Amino acid sequence: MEIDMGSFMEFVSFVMVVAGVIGMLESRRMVRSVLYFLLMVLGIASYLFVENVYYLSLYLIVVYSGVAMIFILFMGMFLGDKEMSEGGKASSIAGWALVGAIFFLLSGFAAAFDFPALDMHDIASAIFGRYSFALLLLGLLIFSALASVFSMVEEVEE
Amino acid sequence: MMEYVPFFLLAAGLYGLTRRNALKVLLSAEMISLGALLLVAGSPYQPLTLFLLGASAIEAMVGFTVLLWMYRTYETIDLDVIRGLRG
Repeated sequence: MEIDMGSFMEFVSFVMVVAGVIGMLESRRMVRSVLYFLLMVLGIASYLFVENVYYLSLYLIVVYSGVAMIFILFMGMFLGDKEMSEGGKASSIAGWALVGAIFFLLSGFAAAFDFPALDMHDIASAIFGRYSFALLLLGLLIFSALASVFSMVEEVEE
Repeated sequence: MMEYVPFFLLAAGLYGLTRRNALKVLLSAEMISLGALLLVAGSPYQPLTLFLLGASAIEAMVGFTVLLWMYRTYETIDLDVIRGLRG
């Protein structure tokens, strides 16, 4: 039996995302829940890589696994790897049943849509041409967020 | 198969917003924005997903700083214990 590599990788990333989400919400330890979140991000990135959206996949890995995840992991280690119970088994089962209900409702609505894709050149010319002002605004937003973070940290340390 | 994952991420993220651990609540909010990213990744507005990602990275940065502040002030991040904003 011949296996199509693309659909196999899609299946692998699907399993990574679903396992990451369930593990993140159900694990008691904070660091484990952060690592399950990382598994979910890597699953999404591998799916985007298989779908030829290379720039977004690499950006996702750099931003989440590289920067945000280091930050979150340090935060988890700083707060201490405590166990925190999250209600009982019954409330967990009820919650996941609700998740399933919302999921089937939304995917039923979305079944009719079909999206076209762009190539790399279009994206580059759009970012540095039409949307360059938006890119500038995003940079300003990042700097102002950094400044607010620094001022908050200073207030805490006083 | 993978085209229905955004809806799963949205549903599970909404469920995660009801948890007690503040870290999990923030990660669930991140999860919802990643679901939105995956939803628009195949659309003609693909370049704008970069801004979505940047905005969610900022959200993570500020959110986790607030978490740090919360821990320094209340010495816990259990949202059942922190009742300062309730009337």
